[in-house]
Amino acid sequence: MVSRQVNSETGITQIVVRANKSMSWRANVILAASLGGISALFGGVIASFGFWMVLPFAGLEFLLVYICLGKAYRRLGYTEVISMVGDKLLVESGYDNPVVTSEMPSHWTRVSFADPPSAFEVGRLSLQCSGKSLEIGRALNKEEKRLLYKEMLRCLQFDEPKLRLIS
Amino acid sequence: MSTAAAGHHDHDDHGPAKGWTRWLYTTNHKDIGTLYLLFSLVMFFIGGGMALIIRAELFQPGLQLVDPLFFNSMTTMHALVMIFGVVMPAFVGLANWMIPMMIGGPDMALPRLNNWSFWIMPFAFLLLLSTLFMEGGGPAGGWTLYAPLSLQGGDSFAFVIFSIHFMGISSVMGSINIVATIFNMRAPGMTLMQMPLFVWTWLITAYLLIAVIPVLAGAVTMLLTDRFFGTSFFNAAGGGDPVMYQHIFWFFGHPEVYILILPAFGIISSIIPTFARKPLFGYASMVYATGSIAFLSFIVWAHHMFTVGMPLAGEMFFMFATMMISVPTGVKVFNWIATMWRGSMTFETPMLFAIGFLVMFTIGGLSGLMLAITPADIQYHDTYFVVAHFHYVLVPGAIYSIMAATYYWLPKWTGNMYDEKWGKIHFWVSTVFLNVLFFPMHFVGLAGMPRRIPDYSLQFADWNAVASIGAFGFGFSQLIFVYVIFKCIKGGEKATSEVWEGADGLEWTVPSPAPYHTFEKPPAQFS
Repeated sequence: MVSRQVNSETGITQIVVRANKSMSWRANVILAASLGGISALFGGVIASFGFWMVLPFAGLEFLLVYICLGKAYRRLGYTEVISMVGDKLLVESGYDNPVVTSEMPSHWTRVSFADPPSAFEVGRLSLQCSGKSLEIGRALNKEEKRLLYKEMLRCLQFDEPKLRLIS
Repeated sequence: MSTAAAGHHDHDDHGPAKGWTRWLYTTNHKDIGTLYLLFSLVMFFIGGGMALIIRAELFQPGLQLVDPLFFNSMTTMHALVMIFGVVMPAFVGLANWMIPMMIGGPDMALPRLNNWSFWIMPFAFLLLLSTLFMEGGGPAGGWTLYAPLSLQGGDSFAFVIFSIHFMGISSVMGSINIVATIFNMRAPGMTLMQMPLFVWTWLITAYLLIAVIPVLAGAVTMLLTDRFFGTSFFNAAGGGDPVMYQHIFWFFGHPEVYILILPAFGIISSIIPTFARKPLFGYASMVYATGSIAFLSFIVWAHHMFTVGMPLAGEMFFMFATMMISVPTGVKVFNWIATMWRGSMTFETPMLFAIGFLVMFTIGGLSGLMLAITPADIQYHDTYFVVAHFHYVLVPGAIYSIMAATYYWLPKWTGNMYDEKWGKIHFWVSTVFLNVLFFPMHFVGLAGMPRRIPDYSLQFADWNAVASIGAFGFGFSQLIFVYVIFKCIKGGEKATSEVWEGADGLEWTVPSPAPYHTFEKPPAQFS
């Protein structure tokens, strides 16, 4: 998923690239609650007859479901933020916070996209500068990579505007 | 270019680790799928060996090979091994291999949890099988562990309970992983109603498992405390209720039956369209039928207990609720037939097993309908008719679907085509002996032969001898299966990406054998 946003503090326009997640956190919580609710219902009914030992297992299982869904969701939260700050291109990536930060002069940076003919290969989108290469949009599919590629071309070729709206 | 904080490395090119650590530490869904499948195959022969001991003893009336306690241990262990050690791990193995590839995900959502889910299993079964060598022998009260009978065994009972807990933990962790994967990691644009049926059936199966495993865990823990800590949950002398154990157990046990068969429905729904070269007839109705079966599985448990005694209204409710299951199941059977109708059908080994499933599972379903009728069930209860019924559901049902899936996806896993001639021989020999083994059980059951006995009346001798011949034939014919698998792993005609002409789905778009990492980046927009 590629989106454009304006940093409210600095006014810098950024491109935010996120990994594919097919369900929102809210939907994950509803899923965990539905599973926990069913287990609690069964455990509660059985406990009402005096056979209470089902309840602790149902509770432990609900905790496990919640923790696992949270962990899985977080793992899919890999994000790249590409910002044009002055004449520098800043690429930050990580999960909750930027773990990797790469900086390159925008006038000496080129973007390349190896667009493969096969429908099920996504190709490689990278920024190249001074003989070094940095892959960006690694979590995107081919259509999204093409969008990001076009946007990066515009971004690197023109002074104004630095980043344009991605349709 | 300057990099402020390095720590990210490229995952594109790394392959499996070398040596045995690859299998111990692996978090790769394909490796873990392979481990599950191999474990299941080994347990299939262990459980099958137990079945052959049972059938050897029953070859003729009288006690000749084993003592009655050991015989009862064999019937109990055979069931536990086949249910928890063969069918469930095989389906989890298939899910591990195929679900990420079918939905376009790079791996399971929680790979380390996946590793733990598998490695708990061998430990659990070592614990269970070790009870056979303990003082007092292994569990001998039947896989249902009915109180108070199961509480009268040896001290190995604690090990049995712990092993069941471990199996439960493994199943719950595997199920949570599958649910998290299917919900969060589908390819962009792949809606729930565009998922392959195998993914749908596994999603519903995982729901069932998560819902009922705490019930089993609670029930067996109460058995443990009754046996060793002086509680009286199921001890009538202490104010407990042994019948309640049966209710609690079957509240887990009946959904468990569907846990063992729903993924099979998904497999058959993948195979039949491929070899009929037509899209699956009534996809949406298949999804809703699977959901209906899962829902109904929660409200039919007491049909296992008609002879225990319950109010007439209860008997009527459970009888009609059980009969209702035949409606969504019938929808599935008719949809599979409609898919084949006027299709350009070919009969490669996976399709033979799928058709074998369809015919023989229906036989098992029809005898199940007979057992659903309360007054009839009171006659059939605890006879070999019941044994014939559930073996027709589980062997040509669950086991045939696993074999069909293995032949179907083996070229994708290994990159080689299996030996079609030997695959077909495996199917026909298995099918003939399977019917020689299980069909006579209907006759002896209707004539009144009780189950779980090492000796029987002379009038049942002939059909028991026939069944035992069938058992040995079926058992040894599975060596062909092993031969075909290992021959395919070693080499053979190279498989293409699509493998089967009529195959459809994301898993057929990756090369054969499937690379160690697939869909590390999501595939193009799914439509």
